[in-house]
Amino acid sequence: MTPDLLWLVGFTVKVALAGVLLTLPFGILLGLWLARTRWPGRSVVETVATLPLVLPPTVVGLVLLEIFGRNRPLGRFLYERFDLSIAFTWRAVVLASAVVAFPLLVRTVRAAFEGVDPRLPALARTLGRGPLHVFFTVTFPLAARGILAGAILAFSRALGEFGATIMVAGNIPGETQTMSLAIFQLVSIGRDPEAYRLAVVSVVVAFIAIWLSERLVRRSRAPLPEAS
Amino acid sequence: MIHVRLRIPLSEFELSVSLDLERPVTALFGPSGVGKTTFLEAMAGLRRPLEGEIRIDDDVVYSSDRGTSLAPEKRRFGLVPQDALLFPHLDVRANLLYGFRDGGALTLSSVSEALEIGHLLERRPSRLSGGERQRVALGRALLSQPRLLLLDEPVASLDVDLKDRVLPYVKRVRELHQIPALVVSHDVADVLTLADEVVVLDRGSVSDRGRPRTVLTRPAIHGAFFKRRFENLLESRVMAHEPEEGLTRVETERGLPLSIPYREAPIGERVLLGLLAEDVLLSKEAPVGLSARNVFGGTIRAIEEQGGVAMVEVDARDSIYVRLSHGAVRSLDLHVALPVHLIVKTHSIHRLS
Repeated sequence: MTPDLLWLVGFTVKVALAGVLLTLPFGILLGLWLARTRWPGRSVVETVATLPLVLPPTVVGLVLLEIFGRNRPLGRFLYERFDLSIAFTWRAVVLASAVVAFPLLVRTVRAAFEGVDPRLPALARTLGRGPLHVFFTVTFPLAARGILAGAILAFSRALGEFGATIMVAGNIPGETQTMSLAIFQLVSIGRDPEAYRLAVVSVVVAFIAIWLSERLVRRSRAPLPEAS
Repeated sequence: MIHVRLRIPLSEFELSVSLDLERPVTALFGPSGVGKTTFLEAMAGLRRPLEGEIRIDDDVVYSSDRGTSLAPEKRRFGLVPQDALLFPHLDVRANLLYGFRDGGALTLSSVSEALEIGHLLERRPSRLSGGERQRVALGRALLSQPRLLLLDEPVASLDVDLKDRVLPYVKRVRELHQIPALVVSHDVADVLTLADEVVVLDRGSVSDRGRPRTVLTRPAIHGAFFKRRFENLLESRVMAHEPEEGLTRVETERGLPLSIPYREAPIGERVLLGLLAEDVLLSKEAPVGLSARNVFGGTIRAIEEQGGVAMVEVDARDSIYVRLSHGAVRSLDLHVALPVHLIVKTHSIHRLS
């Protein structure tokens, strides 16, 4: 069980991380857009982006299966054209993590951008710097802490992903099985002690992730004891 | 020469200002809430005016007729906001260099020397005093080599310590570098110290303009300041010093003798004194046993009332305005031509220049 356990932990952390990295660019762009736009349709976009958070994860998994299944248009296209299988591979695990974590990321990123005093980038423009330069030197650094917090929240959600993953990736030991899937399987075949051991391990992993993130967030906050 | 003509909609009225900035420093003067900040933002390109034109020499910065509106970064108007707005994630050095353009006469070392902020370069804005922040904000604007400086209430932040006052630095910088400046302020002292010309704003339009000393001592602007801190301005001359008493004796142009806090100055020097209308006490009887050193008689020339506030103009050789509540006017039964006594503590009188 020992090498299996190590593999499980490594795999789970890796797919959760990959899922977050995959969503990060989209999450930042959408969060920024939502924070800035005055377009009346924004609440619809926001609702759609939030759906994976409130839908039963199995429904999310079902939708993903509809899109990426080998017999579905996109899934078939990817397979025939690029020899790329999504469903029931590790890629589907990453995809499931990404989709369920996305809403958490978008919401925190939006709040982070909204928290930046709009007069700061405006003032930066009067100093002769163009909008893109201002975004990367003022707006983004000021929102970075919130974005980091959002990414960590998304990562934590991805770590424990179960419903969507089992629908679109199955529960294949050594291939698509994450810790939460393994615990489910162990209990269902009556190997409770091993399930409990895994449960303890997942608590430790989650604890480390949150603790590290708190430290990161605090360190990035340290030089900024801004009172105003 | 800088020509500005802007119409900007505000919530209660429309701001309509037309200016030719001919002098090095022009002050836009008016009470809070007349849209002075909004006007500066429109100048800087951060807010769209209804219509108008901004020209600097032959360069059209904004013109509603031609449909021209340069982006803020192309205008090169250095804005110094009221609350400094330093970038909180950058230290002072990085703040100063944010918009740095090489090639001008201004360098980091010359600016930080002139503004006396050289020792602060490694600090974060959160660890600066109010005056230091203002100076850094001024330096940051200067280092972007602006064609025009826009200063929003340079010393209005009330917590700015006197020793930190930014005005001397603004003055020094202006003398060194000849960058024209537009200052908005509601503070008489600011305008007098800094500006070569003042433009008075009242209800969104220009009501008066000219040399600061001439314009600001006119009672005509009085109406606009009814509800706010109105300052009596007294042109005076130093008559005698009594250092052991802590006093300097002065006399106004019209011959009203006053005692002010001791300050070294040659006898005969002309000084401009400020006295807030709310700092003057009024009494019907001659007061006895008071600690205040300035007690003098006069007659009420006029009483104007508005919204529970009364401005009583007392003729005591000079005209002195006293701000009272409506209730005080009634219970004392004050009326025009009534002889009264005015009481002023020495420390209520301050030198403006």
